[in-house]
This record gives sequence, structure tokens and C-alpha cells, in this order.
Amino acid sequence: MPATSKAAMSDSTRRMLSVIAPLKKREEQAAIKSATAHLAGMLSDRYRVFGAELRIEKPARPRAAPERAIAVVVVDYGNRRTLEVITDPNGKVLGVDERAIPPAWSREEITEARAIAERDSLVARVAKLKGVFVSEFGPEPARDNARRIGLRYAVVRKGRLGAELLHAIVDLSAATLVRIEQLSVNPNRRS
Amino acid sequence: MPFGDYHNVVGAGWSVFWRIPKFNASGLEIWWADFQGRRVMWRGSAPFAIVPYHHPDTGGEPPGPHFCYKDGIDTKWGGAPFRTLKHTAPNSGDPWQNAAFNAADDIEAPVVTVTPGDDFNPATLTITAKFQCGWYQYVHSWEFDSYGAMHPKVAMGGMLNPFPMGMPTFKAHVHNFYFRLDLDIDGQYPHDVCEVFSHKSFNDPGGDEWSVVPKQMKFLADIGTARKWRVRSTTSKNPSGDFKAYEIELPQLAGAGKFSTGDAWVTVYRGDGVQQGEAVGSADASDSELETSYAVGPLSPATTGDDIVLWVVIRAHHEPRFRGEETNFLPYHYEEFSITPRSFAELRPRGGHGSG
Repeated sequence: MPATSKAAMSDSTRRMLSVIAPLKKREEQAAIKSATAHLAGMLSDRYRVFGAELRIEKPARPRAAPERAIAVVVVDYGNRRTLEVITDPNGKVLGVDERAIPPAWSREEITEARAIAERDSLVARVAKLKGVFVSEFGPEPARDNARRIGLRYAVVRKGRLGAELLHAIVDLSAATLVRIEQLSVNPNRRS
Repeated sequence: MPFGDYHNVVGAGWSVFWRIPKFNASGLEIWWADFQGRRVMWRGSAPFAIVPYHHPDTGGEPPGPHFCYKDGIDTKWGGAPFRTLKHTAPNSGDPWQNAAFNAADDIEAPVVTVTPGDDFNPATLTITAKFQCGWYQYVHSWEFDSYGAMHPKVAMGGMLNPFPMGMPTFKAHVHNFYFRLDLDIDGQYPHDVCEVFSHKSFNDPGGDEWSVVPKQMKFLADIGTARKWRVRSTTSKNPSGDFKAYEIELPQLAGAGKFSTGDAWVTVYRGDGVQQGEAVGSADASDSELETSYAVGPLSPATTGDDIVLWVVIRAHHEPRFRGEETNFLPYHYEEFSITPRSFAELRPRGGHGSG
């Protein structure tokens, strides 16, 4: 630790340096292994483990060091919920919660959603257009808590946007294309 | 990929940790900000933005009925997550279309700078990272200066929303950036109170007044009374015998409205895994959940004090310069506010002892 940090850092922070040290591969693997084992029987047949990260909660008393805990996030598509398993660094499960914050879509989910959307002939045709690219967005909330993703298909010409072609809303929980919204091309747009 | 780890940086009398969460797509976070060896903030973040557009002819971007995005954490209504970019990613529309600019590792994202004080400015420690959000880029930047102040900033860049079809073709909109601030004055939680300032007149005594916030609630900015807020310790005093505090002033450039309904919300700490902005915007793309779900419940200012968490918002009304300066890209435009110590820091003149 540089000398300057000793003067700037509070005693409270210094006491927790070992607690907040970067997550070790061993800890990550132990947490994921324990979490998936713990959830066995609770999950539907379609789920995805998003990984693990440190979870440092404020201790009840300021002078106490926080606990080093690891949160493993699992999206259960069939049961339409996201679970968070909290473990200690050795993988001992400390608790399971239904997560209030859905994780952002993973690269694998976006790939899966595109595959689902492009089973549709119109989407498939658009996806093959020259210069088309796909970006994700958050659709309106689903009433049944399904995990949905929006895919925006648009075309770029000469480095500028030529047209937005369609939105495809995909339900990853049901693995279905919910709807397509065809969009008009702006006649005033430069391309 | 070590997204989610905490990284320590020091400078300008500060020690802080930065983090980019692995799961939430919610941008840069600051943890355990200490100044002169004393805790100021447990955690600070800017996890989401609410962006209503002029309408109705938006070309589906944003879509009706609200014509308003919620970007960042738990994105909704056509909004996008904050995708972490390499700090070298260009400020243009290219990173929207090309995943090669994504940061593969959190340490590819931030730039940390320590700038010495000079004849006009204090020393500073600054942590900055950029995030792709649809065609936009948002820059999250936290500056910590050797006067003990924090300056959270957000910049807007990337490219204009190219989809609206009516006239004007590039629709004006408002970026409402929400910050969650968990100040822990001298680390003595849960013994802080939140107070609100009011300038009533120039007649003293009583021209200026600080009032204790009695319960969790929403506030509007009020330039007529120079309204500001502070989180003040009820236990920790400086050598002069004054309770230590940090003040928040919001230089609002646009007013609250249908979607961004307030300027500050006084809440309490309920954990670091909840109340990070999730579910906000569920009902109607507005921030109403901050008032109806987050800033709900009593405070105990007359007895023990509380572990205060504040939500604050800053705004930028963007009238696109699509026939001029913003034709090819959006030059970064920053909005910011300050969190300033009162009776907390011990400062010396530059060239003296212990200051920048």
C-alpha cells in the first residue's frame, strides 16, 4: 500500500481490506458449484448460471468488518424468476433470495434470442440485409414476469444509419417470439 | 473477467474504490470513499437514467405510449443497459454497432488520474469510464478534490437518436440521471440525520435555516430558497465542536415533471443488493417508485439518527444540433453536482501543510 493511501484511508476501510480483496477463481468456482447443488430441485429444466461476484453488505456496527460473501445469480426461465445464492468464500450457502434486480442480458442470451427471432421468415430476411446490425433493448415489463429482450434490427450505410427495420420482442422464458414491430424508414434521413 | 471486484485508488487526500458490477449493467460505482483518513461515503452510483422524448412522431424510438426510456439497471420501455466500453472506444456511433469496443475486463474501462493542485485549483483524483447505451454513450466520472469535495459527473456522447420521423427529425429529449448516495459521515452510521436548507431572507437571525427531515420523503429543488441538503452526523464533531456533515447542491438545468418527478429522495440503507434502482419505471416509465417504494417510512432524527441514503437527479435538456455540431457525433456534454464538506475537513493553504 503506498504511503499516501495510509493517510487517506480510514481505519474502517483498512480493517476490511482482506474482506474486499478480488474474488479468487477458487472462491468463484466453489460458490457456483455449491449454489447449483443447493438449487437442485428448485429449478426448472431451463436455467442459466450467470456467474458470481463479491457481495459486501454493510455490517450492523461501524467498527465491525463486513463479511466476505459471494453472490451467485441464476436465471430460472421456466419458473420466471431470478435467484441469488449467497455463499461464504468456501462455498457454504448462507442464503437464497429471489433477486429484485434482473441481470442484464448475457451475450449467450442475445445469441439465443436472435436465433428464436430469426426463425420467423421476415426477421430472417431482414437479418440478411447488407449492413444490418442488431442491438438489444428493454421492452415494456411483462405481466407474467417472463424474461424478455428486445432486438432492434437496423441498417447502417456509409457509417450512418440508413434505416431501422424492425423490433423483435423475444420471450426467453418461453423461448418464443412475442411480436414483431415493423418500422418505417425515415424518408428524410440522409444515408 | 473480474467485473464486480473492488479496485483501490488514492490521491488528493482521498482513498476510494471503484467497481463495475458484473450483472447489472449499471455503470461505475464508487465504494468506501475516505478523505483525510475518515469515511465519507459507503457507496455512490448512477445506476439508471430516465429519458423522455418529444413525441408522438418518434419513429418507434422511444416507443409509445410513454415515449420515455429507462436506461441502465433493469432497463425498460425501449431503453438499453449500460454496456462497458474500453476507455479507448471512440466517441461516435461505431461502438453501438461493433462489439469489439466492449471492455472484456473491467480494468480496460476506467481512466484514473491524479492532478496536482495549482495556482487556481485543488488537487484532484478522478475516475472515469464510458458506457454504451443504445446509440448514446454515457460517461460516468467521479472527481475527488483536496478540499474534500466530491463531484459526480455524467457526460452524454455517441450519436443522435436517428429514428424519429416527424419535424424536427431529431427529437429533443431530457436526460434525467439518478444518483444513489450512501453517505456515512465519519463512518458513524446509523447516527446521521438529513437536513434541508432554506434561505428565507437577509434578516438575521433566522434568515437562513436548516431543518431536520422528519421522515423518508421526496423533495423538489427550489432556487428561490437556495434549497440544498446535507447529511450530518449526530455523534462526530470537528475540533471546533461542530457536527460533521456533507452538503449536496443540485444545479438543476431542467425542472421535475411527469417522468422525473422530484429532485432528491431521502431514504435509509436497506442493503446493497436491493433498492439500487430496480423496478423504478415499472408502472409508467416515471421514477414514481422512488417515492412510493423507496422513500417510505419513518426516520429517527430526534433519537438515534439513521443510516441515510439519498437519491438525487440532475438533468440535461438536449435540443439536438443536428444541422451543425452534432451531425457526425455527439461531443461529450457533462452535467455534474457537488457534495461538499461542512465542518468535516481540515484544510491548509496551498504551500502550507497538508493540503493541495
